[in-house]
Amino acid sequence: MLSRKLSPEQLVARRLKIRDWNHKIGAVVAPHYSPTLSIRNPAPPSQLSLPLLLSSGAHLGHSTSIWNPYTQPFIYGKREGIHIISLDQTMVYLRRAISVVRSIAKENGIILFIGTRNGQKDSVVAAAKRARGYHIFDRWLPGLLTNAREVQGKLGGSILCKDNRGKLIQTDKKPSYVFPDLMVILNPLENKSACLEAQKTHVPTIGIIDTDADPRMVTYPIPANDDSLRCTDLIAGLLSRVAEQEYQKANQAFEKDKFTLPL
Amino acid sequence: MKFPDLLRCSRAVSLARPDLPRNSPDVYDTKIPILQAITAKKCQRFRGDWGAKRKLPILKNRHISIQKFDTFEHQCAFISSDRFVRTLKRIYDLKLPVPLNDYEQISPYLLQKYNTFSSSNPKSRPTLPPGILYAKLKLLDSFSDSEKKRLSLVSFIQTKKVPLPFTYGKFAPDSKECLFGVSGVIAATSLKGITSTKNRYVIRSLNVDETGKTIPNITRENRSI
Repeated sequence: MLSRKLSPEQLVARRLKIRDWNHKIGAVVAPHYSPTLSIRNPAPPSQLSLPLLLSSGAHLGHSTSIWNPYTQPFIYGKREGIHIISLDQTMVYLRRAISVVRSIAKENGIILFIGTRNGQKDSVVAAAKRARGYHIFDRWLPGLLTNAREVQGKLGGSILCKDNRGKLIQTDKKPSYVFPDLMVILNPLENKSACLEAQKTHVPTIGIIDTDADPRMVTYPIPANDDSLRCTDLIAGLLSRVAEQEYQKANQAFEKDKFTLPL
Repeated sequence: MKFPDLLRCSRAVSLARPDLPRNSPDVYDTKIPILQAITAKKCQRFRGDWGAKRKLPILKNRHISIQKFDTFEHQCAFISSDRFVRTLKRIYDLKLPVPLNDYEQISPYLLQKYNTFSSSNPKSRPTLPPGILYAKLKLLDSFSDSEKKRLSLVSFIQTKKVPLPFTYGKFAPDSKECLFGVSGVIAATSLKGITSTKNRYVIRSLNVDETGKTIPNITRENRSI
């Protein structure tokens, strides 16, 4: 029996047929562990639990010799020369921070994420993008809020808009300086100037307070380990996920009202 | 679950810690492993994430031991434990009769640690009583050429024409240095007799016991004949 020679069209058709046969064969490999998984796909607030905080190393405090006495209510005990942070307290304060972020996202507020440690750039950028806010990962400019006239530049003139004929017309509105409605600071000790400026301009702040930091620096402290990349990734991802859920909820409400509007 | 129950299973609490008196010199002796060795995945080591308090620098070691989780200078003190783990793996691979669980039983057979220039000073050499079995456990580490020469003078067990059944690190299969072995009765009372060529012991072959342990056949090499 001689094998016949197939034309190019027949070869392509055969290849597509074989692909259709083999398309459904095999298993789907589940996503395995990756250290950047908490950055790309952070846990929602419904999955927040004590084992999750413990596995991220949130309970490890600083050395007992560099202890700040104002963090006494957060400390569970001493072990291996370091303070152990009570995760029950962390859970309470973290849930309060989540409710704050939710209420601000509901009002379409501006959320600013600040993380200046080495390795926190990816999580901070991803969190700000997810929460539709802004991020700072290199350095906080001193005077960004209190000296906005000099740092943010001069704002003159008025806002222009077009009329029906396409002509530019000046309006009565004038441009103003941009202030965030909420600041999430992952390492408050190194960004002390940011905390002070936020206090002076009455901007609420959420910060991760370790055992050597002062909880009075921020408005809503979260007692946790601010040196571990796992812990900061977890907290930043968690807060940004809350804001994202709130925005999606608002969009769903708009989509629902769309069909009930009279034409 | 409750936090105290979870805390007992965490790494910071469950790490084995030595119960030594304060200012004990054994803590700084790198001959015997005291702290527990830990490891991390390759993807975690690239980020410096070993599960400690803070991010560690990017290391090439696969096993480290944490001395302190945090210090006054905001640092996590750690040391390398690669040589201990690799030595332990090799001992298990060879199935040598080494009682690792009970250190007190094995400590009389370990030779004392020499100082840097102890070979040049005959007074500081330890005197070995005759009629006792001795062993030399050589830790796997990167040695320099001068270190190899100094250790070859101290070592009194050598293999000849017997290829080793394993290969780790820089050691070749035809290496003349045995990592661990048990010698026979030493007739000399000082190291001078041991270092001479007349009292050199040679492992002819390796046999396996009924229980699966490796027993080397050691005979004295007499070059005068």
